[in-house]
Amino acid sequence: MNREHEDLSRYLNGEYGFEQLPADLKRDAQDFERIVTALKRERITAPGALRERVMKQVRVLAKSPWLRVWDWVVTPKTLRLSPAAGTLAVALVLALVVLALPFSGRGAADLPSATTTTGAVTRFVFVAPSAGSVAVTGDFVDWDPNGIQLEDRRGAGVWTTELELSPGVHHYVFIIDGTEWRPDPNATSQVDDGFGQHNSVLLIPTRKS
Amino acid sequence: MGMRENPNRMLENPNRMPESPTDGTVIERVLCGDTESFGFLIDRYQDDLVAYANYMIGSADDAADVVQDSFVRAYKSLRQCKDPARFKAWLFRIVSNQCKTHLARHHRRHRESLSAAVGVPGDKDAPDTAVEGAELRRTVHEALQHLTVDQREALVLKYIDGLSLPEIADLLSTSQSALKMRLLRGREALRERLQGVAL
Repeated sequence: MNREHEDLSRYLNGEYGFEQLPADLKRDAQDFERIVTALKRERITAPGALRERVMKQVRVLAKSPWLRVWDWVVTPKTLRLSPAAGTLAVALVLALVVLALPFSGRGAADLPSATTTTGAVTRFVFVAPSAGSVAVTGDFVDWDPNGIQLEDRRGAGVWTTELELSPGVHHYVFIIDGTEWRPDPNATSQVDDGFGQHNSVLLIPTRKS
Repeated sequence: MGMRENPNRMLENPNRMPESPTDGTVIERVLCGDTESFGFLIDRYQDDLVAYANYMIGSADDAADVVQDSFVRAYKSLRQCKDPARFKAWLFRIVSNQCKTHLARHHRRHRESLSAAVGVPGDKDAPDTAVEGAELRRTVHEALQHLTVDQREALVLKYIDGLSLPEIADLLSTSQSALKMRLLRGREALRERLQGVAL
């Protein structure tokens, strides 16, 4: 491959004037500009219907109670409590924690049958007894086609992995045997991926620092 | 510090929207419930974004779909756009990610010519020259599709969309020196692909 001259690079990066280039580099610069000109002439504009197609979806979303709930959840709120009510609320939370403690380890021995989020960790679960491998991919790995592999620790076809995801809405799918992309059958929500398939939706709530 | 107009007051009189509102003003209105104002943002950026997506994925139809999906995602996440003054960069980043997702999911690359599908306006060449010009454009466009996604993205933003190095580095979350290297490799790869082509 022909290496690009340093001065030509400077010019093409906008750090050098054309007049400062020697004659041979001026020719190279003009050659590259012809490539850019050819590319620019392939420039297209948006189809006329695009605006209305987007607005149609936006109007539906604007009416979506789910989106309003999500907005309410992620918008910071100021909570004003009297000392008496505050004390009562703290006592209530403590009571609930104490009551829940004996049950906290109960499910540890059993794998959940659906994808769940506990604290910062999301456990992805996909049941596929006949699969040779299962992976999960999504926006959190830039839709890496290899995804993140799940493990079938008991050989029972229950594939799991745990990931720590950032708060927000995530879209994901499972990849069966490296080829077949499937949405999560247990996800509470699915969205059209715009290409005739569906992605599963996962909501990770904002964590308190 | 300048006074900010209360968007709720603006809602009382829809005629108060200026002819060319800033992105920040439009976003405030949308977030206050004026859904239709989102159309301003679509009008403002749809052509640039579709052109960009087409350069990235090499298909006019898919580019339009990707941009449509990106606008819907942008609407859903509008509250997460921390700095409305940099909405354009934020939106480009969404489209860029969507293009990468599309390329990852659709390994095949559509290389149909956009000029054939949509038409490139303003070609004033004489008929014979126009044919040669169209072939050259297709050849160059196809050569672009053979670069890596990162190289293609950097070249399009710099030489087609005319963004500055700091703007691109910010948009791609990379350093300027890394960006310069990406541009250099992209130019070299493009020249290599076009070796022997009469420009």
